[in-house]
Amino acid sequence: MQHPVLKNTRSLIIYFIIWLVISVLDLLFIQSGYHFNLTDCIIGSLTFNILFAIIGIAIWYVVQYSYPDKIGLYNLLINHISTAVVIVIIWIASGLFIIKNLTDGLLYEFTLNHIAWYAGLGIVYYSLFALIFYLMIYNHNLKERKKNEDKLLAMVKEAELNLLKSQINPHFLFNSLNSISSLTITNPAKAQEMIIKLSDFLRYSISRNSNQKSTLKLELENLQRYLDIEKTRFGNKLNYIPDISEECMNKTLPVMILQPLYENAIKHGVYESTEPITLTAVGRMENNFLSITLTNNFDLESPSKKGEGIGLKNIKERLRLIYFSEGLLHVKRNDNKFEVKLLIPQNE
Amino acid sequence: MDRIRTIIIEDEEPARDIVKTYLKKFQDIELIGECSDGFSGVKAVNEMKPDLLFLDIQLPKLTGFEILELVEHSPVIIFTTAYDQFALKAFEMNATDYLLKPFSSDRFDTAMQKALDKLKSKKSEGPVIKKLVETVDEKSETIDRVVVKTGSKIKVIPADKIMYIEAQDDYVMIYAEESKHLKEKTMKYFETHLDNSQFIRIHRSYIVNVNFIVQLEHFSKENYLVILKNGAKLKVSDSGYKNLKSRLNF
Repeated sequence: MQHPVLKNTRSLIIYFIIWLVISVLDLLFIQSGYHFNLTDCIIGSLTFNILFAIIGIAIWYVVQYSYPDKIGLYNLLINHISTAVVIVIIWIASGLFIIKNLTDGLLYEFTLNHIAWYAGLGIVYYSLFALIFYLMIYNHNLKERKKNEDKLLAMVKEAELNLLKSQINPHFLFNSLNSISSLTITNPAKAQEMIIKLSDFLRYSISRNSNQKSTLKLELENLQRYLDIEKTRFGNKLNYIPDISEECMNKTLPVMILQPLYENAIKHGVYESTEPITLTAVGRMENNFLSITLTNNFDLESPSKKGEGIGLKNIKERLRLIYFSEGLLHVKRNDNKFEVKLLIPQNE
Repeated sequence: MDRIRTIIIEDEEPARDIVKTYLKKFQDIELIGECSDGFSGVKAVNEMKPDLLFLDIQLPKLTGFEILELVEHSPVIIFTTAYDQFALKAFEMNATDYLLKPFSSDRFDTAMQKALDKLKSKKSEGPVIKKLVETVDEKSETIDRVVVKTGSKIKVIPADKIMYIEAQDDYVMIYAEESKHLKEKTMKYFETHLDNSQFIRIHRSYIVNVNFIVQLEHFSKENYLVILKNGAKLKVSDSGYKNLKSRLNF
């Protein structure tokens, strides 16, 4: 937070106007109660008030540094008391010096005799400064906090929406519905079957949050639904050969971690190809890791599209966040084969 | 009534089936071809010159819009798309009709009626298609490939393989590693849509791919040339030099 007085010319001017007013009031007070000549009174009041106005600016830095949450009440008091003492001493000393040199002895004598008053006044000024500065900081922090809260709320809402959107791929959804629409005419029984599969698939997809774990068996069942649906669209262009060893079936892995891999393979393999594409999935245990390797061939003549890397990057990041480990996703690409290998730690 | 010669370009069989089913009640329609990818689609339209075309946007090899850039014939077109919010806007602005999958037979009939009216009026669809392609061009997405035609051969050139592009009046000449191709697009189009970190406009007439630059030569007081891997020398203008400087950080 910027210094409330120094932050711009305007605040500086207002500050000094306030001190001018205080000086005038002080002047009237001295004049009415004591019999010094006018010039001396003016010098007296201006000197001490302007001096404190200047020195007071520094109090801000002590206040900023001594925030109760940060350093504890005890340290806070120590800081302020020591600073106040120093400031008041400097203030009175410089004030006296100026008065001695600008006026005749009377005012100087008077000030010297009433030094306790001045000290008291100094402490009062200091406390007021400190209090006002603390209030300003508090108010500022309150506003900041409210602003941040609003921003966070908006971010959470957007994240939830994006999560939902990403879990339901619109192209997949509308194309599947289109296939089903067609099947209602050419093969109504199959259409019914597809509607149930689509519904089960969507239910599984959107009802989980990304930290949850599932078993390989359940994940593969869901993937089979997904592939059956895609097969109605692509017919012979899509072929799937699973090779999962029995011991892998009850192992755990993050829910829906495999689906984007299959979707990726289909998007970049099947969508772009005019030839049949084969997806093979191999599941084995490797030491304490569940290893799943998804391979697909692709049409060499198909121009490669960007965006292939992003889906994989997300999966890698998700694995890193859940298992605190790098190196759980490996991509290999040669000639006309694209291979992705996932390693899921099992020692939990 | 004359037969309306129709082609369907759609890669998913169930999607083709449903169009065929809905078409049955229109007796003047003669289905002369079905294509399931972009290349064969362009070939079929250019060779058979259909009156009516059902065109999917998402296709293997070429997108529906890329097909439009390459056909010489302008049939009446009904677009089909599953989900493409941008495409919808483009279609609406150009009064071409589109069908959102899945669509009902009523919605299909409405689109057909529009198409039949257009066919009866015998006005050329050419300008409509041109306008549509221009609208699509305004989309500010980075392109990663360019489709060109040499005679009857279609080539898809990945952006990475483009060395430089030279202005040629209303067209541009695209210089790839082993070939060059004329394309009817503006320099501005490529300046906007090619990856700015890779392609720099060095001159009113040249956009260059930085990965093909081997040297920057200073041949007289204010004049610079870039020299490419294949030996080509391209002039650099003052502003072009500034662009190069900021992009290549020297």
